[in-house]
Amino acid sequence: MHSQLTASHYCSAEIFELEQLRIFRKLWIFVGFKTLLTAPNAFLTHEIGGVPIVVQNTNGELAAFVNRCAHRRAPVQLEDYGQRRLACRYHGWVYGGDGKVRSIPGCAENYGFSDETVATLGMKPVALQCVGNTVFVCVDENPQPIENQFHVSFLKRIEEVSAFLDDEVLFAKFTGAYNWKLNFENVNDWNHVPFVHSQSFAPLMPDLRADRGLVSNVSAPPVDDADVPGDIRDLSYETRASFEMAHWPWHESIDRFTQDSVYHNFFIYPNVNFITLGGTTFLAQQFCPVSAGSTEVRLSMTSGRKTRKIPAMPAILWGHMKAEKAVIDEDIIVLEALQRGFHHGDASAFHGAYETRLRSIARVYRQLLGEATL
Amino acid sequence: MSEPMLVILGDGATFESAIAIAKRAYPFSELRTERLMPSDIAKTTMAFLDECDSSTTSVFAAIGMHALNYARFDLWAKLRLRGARIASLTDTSAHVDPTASIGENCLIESGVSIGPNATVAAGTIIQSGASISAGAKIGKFSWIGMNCTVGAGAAVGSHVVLGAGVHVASGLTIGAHCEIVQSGLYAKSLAEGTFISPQFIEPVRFYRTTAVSPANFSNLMQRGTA
Repeated sequence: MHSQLTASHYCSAEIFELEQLRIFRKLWIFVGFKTLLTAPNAFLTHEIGGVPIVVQNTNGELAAFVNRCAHRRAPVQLEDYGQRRLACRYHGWVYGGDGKVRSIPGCAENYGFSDETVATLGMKPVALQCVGNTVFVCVDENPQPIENQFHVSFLKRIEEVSAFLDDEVLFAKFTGAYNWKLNFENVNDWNHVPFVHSQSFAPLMPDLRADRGLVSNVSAPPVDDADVPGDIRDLSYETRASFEMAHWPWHESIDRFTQDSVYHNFFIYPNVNFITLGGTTFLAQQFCPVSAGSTEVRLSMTSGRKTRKIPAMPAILWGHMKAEKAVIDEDIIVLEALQRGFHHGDASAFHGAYETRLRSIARVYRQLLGEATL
Repeated sequence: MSEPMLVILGDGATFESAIAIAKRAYPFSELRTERLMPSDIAKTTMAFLDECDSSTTSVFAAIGMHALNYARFDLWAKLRLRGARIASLTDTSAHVDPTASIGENCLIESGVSIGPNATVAAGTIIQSGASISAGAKIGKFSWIGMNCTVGAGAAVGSHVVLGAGVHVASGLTIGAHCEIVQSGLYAKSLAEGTFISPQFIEPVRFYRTTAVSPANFSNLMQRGTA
């Protein structure tokens, strides 16, 4: 069955702008781990639908703001993560926990602002919700309840699993020359693993080895377009696959939510793949749109919650990060080539039975854009 | 009293290098080598040390390759807890200025140059051809790769890895836990936990929450970060 998405959905600047407005500025978007934001003035920055965001610990509470100074619109925080009060680096305006201007250096001498004027100035707050130790932000003026986007059972599962996240995180980011949707589709497509990762990742997954066969039974034919599920909440879900995990001594020094050698994926619509290897390491992959043909991939890696100090943790996470990046690089080769091939009049993807979830993603996506769907 | 003895304990390239240097550079009457895999550090009892005279025996923890700096640290800590005397090994072709300070369990390979008033803390390995300039400081259990240079007055933190051919400009600070495996000249200081590798275009950063106690909160305030 042909996908409901055309080449234009992956390479049109106009459609990209539309999805920034109607998807990323409307939905709850995962921005990071709360465990890195527990200290006073700890912060993270992000960009959602083209809107720069800062999530800041102010007086022990997390708050999210548009990361723009009320003065000359400069970003108040510059780094991806840090620990620093809300003070603009450009002209030193300082903001309180409510986002209101607290002080302006030289206010009377240089600006001539009255107290009344100053009281009207501030950073724009945006909605924030923590689900366990994960942080979600919605930049919409009237954010929908998060339960409209995710099943309550899924949110509870994220809460339960993320309780085991540690507070030391390795963070990496890089850009791929492909549309963000390709990456979310790719991680939802288990069937690429034996082919793209035949020498790296697949050998560790007994169920996906080529010698085991991919499908044990003949699938029913693909469902008709009209029968493809269209509930956005179904697009965020958990999968498990057996995994041949190495066991290291440091595993004895962390709390794990499971002792099983299982590779868990939590797909968080629209753009996150949250992974854990049997509760030993956790990795959030965020596929952040930059343009129609460019995606910033943000990787946040941490371990299970430590029960004692592990001095080697930076090196441990770095080792895992390098291994993950090697696997991701195999995907990037395919996704960038796929993106380069999109052209006007190109045929849409042709999906089989196992790709019903991808068809659901396409259907919901078009609903969100306001396009007619079958 | 028995003759002085050196025990080299470990595995891999560092183990082999330590043995070669010990044979060239040290007139120990007896050199004993014990293979120990990193994965066996936790469970080893090091019973062989019971057979040695602790007053004349020195031990060198030689767990190899830079990714295992922490394993070497674990082994060194275990030896210290056992009360063992720890050796440092410097190749005959290395030049170490008399005013430089070298900590225990360091391995200084062939052709290395360590300048006046430089400091190399315990457990650090400096590979062949590397140069540590005057006044430079290298932290504990770091790894300075082949032909690296660390400029005058530069400070390299603990558990740092500098891959082969990394040049750190004078006066810079490379924070603890950094790893640079891409050769070249580095002219900017790096914060703790920065990883630079050809695999990633931008540096990868390690972050941890900093608990702020009342005592250091005032410090943060003074630095303008609170």
